[in-house]
Amino acid sequence: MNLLLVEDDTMLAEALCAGLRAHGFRVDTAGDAALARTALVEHDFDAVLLDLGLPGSSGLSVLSYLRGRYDATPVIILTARDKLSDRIAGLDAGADDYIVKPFQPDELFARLRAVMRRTQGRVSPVLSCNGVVLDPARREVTRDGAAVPLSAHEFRTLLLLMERQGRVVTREQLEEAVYGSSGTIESNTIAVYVHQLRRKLGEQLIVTVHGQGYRISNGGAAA
Amino acid sequence: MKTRSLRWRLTWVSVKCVLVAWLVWLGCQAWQLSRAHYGFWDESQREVAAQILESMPDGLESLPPRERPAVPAGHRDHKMSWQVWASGRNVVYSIAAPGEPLKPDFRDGFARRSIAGQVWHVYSLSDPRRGLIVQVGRSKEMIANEIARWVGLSLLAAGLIFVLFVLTVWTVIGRSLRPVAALRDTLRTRPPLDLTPLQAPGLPTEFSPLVDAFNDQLTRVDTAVQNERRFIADAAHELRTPLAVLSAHADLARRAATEEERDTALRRLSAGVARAARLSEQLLDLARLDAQTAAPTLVPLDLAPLLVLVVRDFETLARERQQRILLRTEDGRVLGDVDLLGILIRNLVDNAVRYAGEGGRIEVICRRDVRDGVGGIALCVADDGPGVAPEERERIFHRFYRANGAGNGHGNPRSSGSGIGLSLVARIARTHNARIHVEDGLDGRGLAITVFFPAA
Repeated sequence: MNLLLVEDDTMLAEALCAGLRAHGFRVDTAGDAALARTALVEHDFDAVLLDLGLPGSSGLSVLSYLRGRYDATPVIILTARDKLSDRIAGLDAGADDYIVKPFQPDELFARLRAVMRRTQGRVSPVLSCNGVVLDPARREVTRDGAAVPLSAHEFRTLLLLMERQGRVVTREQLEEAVYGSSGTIESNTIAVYVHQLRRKLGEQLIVTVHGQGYRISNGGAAA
Repeated sequence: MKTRSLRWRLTWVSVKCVLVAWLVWLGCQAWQLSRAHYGFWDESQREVAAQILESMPDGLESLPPRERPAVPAGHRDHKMSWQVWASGRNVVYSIAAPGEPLKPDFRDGFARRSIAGQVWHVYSLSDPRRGLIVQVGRSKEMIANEIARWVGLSLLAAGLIFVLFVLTVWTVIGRSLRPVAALRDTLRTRPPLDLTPLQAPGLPTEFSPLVDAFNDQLTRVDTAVQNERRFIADAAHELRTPLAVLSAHADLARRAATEEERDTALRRLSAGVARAARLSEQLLDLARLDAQTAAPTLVPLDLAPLLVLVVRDFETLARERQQRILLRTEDGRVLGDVDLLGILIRNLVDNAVRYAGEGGRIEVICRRDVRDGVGGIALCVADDGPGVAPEERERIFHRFYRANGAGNGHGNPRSSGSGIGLSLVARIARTHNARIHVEDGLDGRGLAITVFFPAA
């Protein structure tokens, strides 16, 4: 497991590195955005831990650089910025998860494992249904040819639904896909994401199967 | 003319005023002068003719004819030329009157005719009893000369009035603005954070709204500065205790004799760090709210996705405490600020997670509701913890207020309460015109805090 840690605070970087190595990860570090970009070009990483408050340019620029190259490497944002709008901006820019400093190292490891489990060993064919095309490698969704920006969570919900096209996906399966397992929070989170997806991609795309879950509509109805 | 100087503006305006007044006056005069028959010109011509006729002695017709002398150089009729005719002869005349009759038909009344290439305005008056005819005329040149002289004089008068005006304006403004200069000097010599209201004796009343507004602003700045001072004092006080705890546990860990002792100390150190971190986070939120001078711009937004994002942050904490969080949301938009709502939700959930205790339950429910006839979204966060006595429920929203037992607790998670979280909730609710209700929590125990937002 190769990780890239982009963090400008050396004390925090050292502590995180030690912790991550103790958990069996191999870690490279980069202290600023330029070094991070170079490292991303030269090596393949399994995941990137990205600090937003870097000297010079923001970590968000590294994220858009990565996604601009159609690189779907999972990215977890680490930041001292606890403003909710920043977090939404990070997720919209293609981050897989977001963790606010100060955080417990255990929480970071848990999220890291969840993110990597989701992306591991996945062959990524382009999925399409009713004019909606999802390209997992490029993390790109288009509707009738026009790009539709989705947050990481919406993307994952849609991905699972499209992978199982035509079959019903339960709420638990979707939650598992979006967050990794969670016995702690019981919620209608998935309903919220489905609502957002319907708003962005059309009401007909996702069908609610009462008492069971959701499925992508078979396309017969849509033109 | 685009100038901001009061003096120049007034000067410019008075130029325009004097000019307009002068033109209006000129127009009236011109109309009055040139009105046919009854205007000043015709009237004077008629009067002169009548006077000449009356003043003529009898027997003019018997005067012997004489040679008409040439007009001496430099002599001319300035305003009018006239002729007195008796028995078909021009017996008396003004020095530069033409030789031919001004009005050859000799009929009484006005006429306009051309004599020696000039246009004349002529008037003829006869006295048939004495056989005398008086003719009075003005050439165009005479009229023009007279008008020119007259316009020149009036321009001079207008100029004098204008100069007087400007002098007055400059002096009056200079005098009126002296208190402004004095005010400026006072401001310059003030110490940087002297926020006492300005006194400006002798300042024209037109300036008092400005000074009042400035004083209002000073008061607001004063409040902000006071808030900041209070915050710094509070923060210093609030941070000292958790830091002392950290330092104590770190010390214990270093001196621990057994592995077990060290482990305990380190675990407490970790918990202390989490507490200090949360406290500093809340203090920063508090500072951010305190520093906010203008009301936030509220935009219509969905509450549900924000709840999902924030509640997920408590997953680890809840798992550690074997708690279960139930999150239920309905769609609905409210007018809000994303960041402020983030702080509000975080602190509500944080409060519930902390107070619910080990193995507790927390419910975060957001649904459409109607309160007092107003539709909106009710966000309710409930726990099954020990709750708060009804008489205390008002006070939990005051800054640094800790509910009974919150500060000293027998293993109670309340012990980490800072007394900041709910005061932030109350303040943010106020800026969103949202109302807060406090009730019993789950299963008749615990606490439920509902924030009702009017619909967007």
